[in-house]
Amino acid sequence: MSTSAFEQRLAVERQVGAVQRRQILRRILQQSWLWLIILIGLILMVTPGIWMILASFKTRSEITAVPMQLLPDKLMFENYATAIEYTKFYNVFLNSLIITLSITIANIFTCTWGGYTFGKLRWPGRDAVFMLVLSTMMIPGFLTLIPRYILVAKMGMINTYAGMIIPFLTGAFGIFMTKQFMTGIPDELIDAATVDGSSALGIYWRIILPLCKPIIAVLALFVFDWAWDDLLWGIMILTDRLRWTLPIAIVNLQVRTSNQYELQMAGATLAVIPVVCLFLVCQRYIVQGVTLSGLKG
Amino acid sequence: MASAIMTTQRTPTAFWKRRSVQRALTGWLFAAPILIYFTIFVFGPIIASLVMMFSDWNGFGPLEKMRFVGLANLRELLRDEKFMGSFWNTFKYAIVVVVSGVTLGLLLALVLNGVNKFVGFVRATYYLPVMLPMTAMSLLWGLMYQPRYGLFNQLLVKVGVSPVSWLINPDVALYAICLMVIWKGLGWYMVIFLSGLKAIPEEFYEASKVDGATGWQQFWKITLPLLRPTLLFVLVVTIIGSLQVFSPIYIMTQGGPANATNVVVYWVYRTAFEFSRFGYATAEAVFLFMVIFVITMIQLRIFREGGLTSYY
Repeated sequence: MSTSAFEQRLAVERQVGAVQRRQILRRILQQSWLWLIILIGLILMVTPGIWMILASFKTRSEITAVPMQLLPDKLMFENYATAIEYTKFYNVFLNSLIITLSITIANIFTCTWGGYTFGKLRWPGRDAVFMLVLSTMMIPGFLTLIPRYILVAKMGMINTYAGMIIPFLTGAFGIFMTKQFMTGIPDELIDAATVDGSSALGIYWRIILPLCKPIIAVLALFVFDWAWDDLLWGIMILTDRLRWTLPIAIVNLQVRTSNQYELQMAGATLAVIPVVCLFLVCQRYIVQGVTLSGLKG
Repeated sequence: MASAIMTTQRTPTAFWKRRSVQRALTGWLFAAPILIYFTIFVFGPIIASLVMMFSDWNGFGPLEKMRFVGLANLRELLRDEKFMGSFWNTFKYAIVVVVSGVTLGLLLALVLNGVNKFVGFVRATYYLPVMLPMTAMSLLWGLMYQPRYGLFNQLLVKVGVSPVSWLINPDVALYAICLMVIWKGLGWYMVIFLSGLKAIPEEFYEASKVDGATGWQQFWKITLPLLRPTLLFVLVVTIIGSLQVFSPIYIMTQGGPANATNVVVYWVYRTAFEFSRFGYATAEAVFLFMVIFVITMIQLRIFREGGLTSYY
């Protein structure tokens, strides 16, 4: 009698074990499917970039070889030297850096300023003015492209850094993003400072700016990335070679060298390097930033 | 006497009155630079666009000499095959890019939501192409699309498929550019959808599981409805963004072959700066904007009642 009860229990346990095992097996199977998809995706994401770097070190005959040659026989650093020479790299890199950094730094101050004005200051008409600013998010850049060009031209800013920087000093999206972020800063903090005799300007400078560091990082990253890649406004405003930015120089390299792909790939790699460095340093903020812009509670 | 006036001024209502005046003053003073800037660089140019679209200005003479031609630009526009071609190309491009981006991005987000190791690394790697400059990527993909020794055709030949004339065949070129843009943007869609998925409480899934819901039902009844705000944001932003495509066209195809990749912004640029028809170019831009505007309004209506105010 006791043996049969024991056997019964054993059978039940065995059954439970089988169910568990089956569940674990199914989980492993499901996980491996997911990882297979992720892995294929990862390969697709990374391959073009690796292809570009490899091609930048090849000779032309290695690039145009059929069937293809994966690795270069010898690393052709000369490609980079020639690409640097053709694009006047140091010159255009400096132009790009000056323009992009100016736009980025300006946006840091203007957008937090806007966020503070519309998010934390209390004044009559605030919401109406904010809606007006916000509605410009719906205005695509190309609508105002030509009048803005004429404006900049009439102001004598063709072929100047100013012409590249001043039209992009602030943006509705940046103001909106910082305003959203500032809802997390308690009003009591600001009220306390007001009671202590701080002016609105002092509060912006001593309380708001330091507390906004995370959103400033996100903002700076996005503005930098966008401004670094601008092509359309550049080819409109900058006709003088010496004023060119990196994207314009890269496109010109393509036009000038038609099928010298090794030079084009070297140039493209050079244009990518600063962004990749920034990406590696600020990875954490990137994901956080995209999340912030995507989730509007 | 003087002290009596002082005391009346010190009454609470007077204090609050002064305080609120001060507040209003501060607010408007802070807003003034922003308003002035937006007036000069956004609102002014919008009004200028709406005026210039009725002129035949060539971009050179003094502004005072601008001649108004009434509706001539608009009439020409509707009969202009090149412009209308670019208009439809732009929409084809936007639809392909947005629909594939949303579908693949959401799928990828669902996949990544199902695993719990290396998520940060995977997410970052998928996001990398989003950050890379479009100019450099256009050069790179131009080479990969090269008909004889480009990466794509070499691989196709290797698996026994006949090679494709990516950027040379008018039926394929626009989609080839779409493919690059989808590749580049996929990480953006994924990261946004993933954060949207993470915000859905786990209890919803557990409760529905108890009720015997299948994974498919969970997706349609829980995931998708709760992703609506995210989806709205993604659609509005990406449609406005894709209709503005310029760099890849300018670099990879210059609108060819046979105008198959001619898109509006590229064509506006050429109309103004190559043909010196600033008035007509503005009319083209306004025309596209009007259409985008209508689409955006419809989207806001469909996804959420109340329009712009409920959008954020």
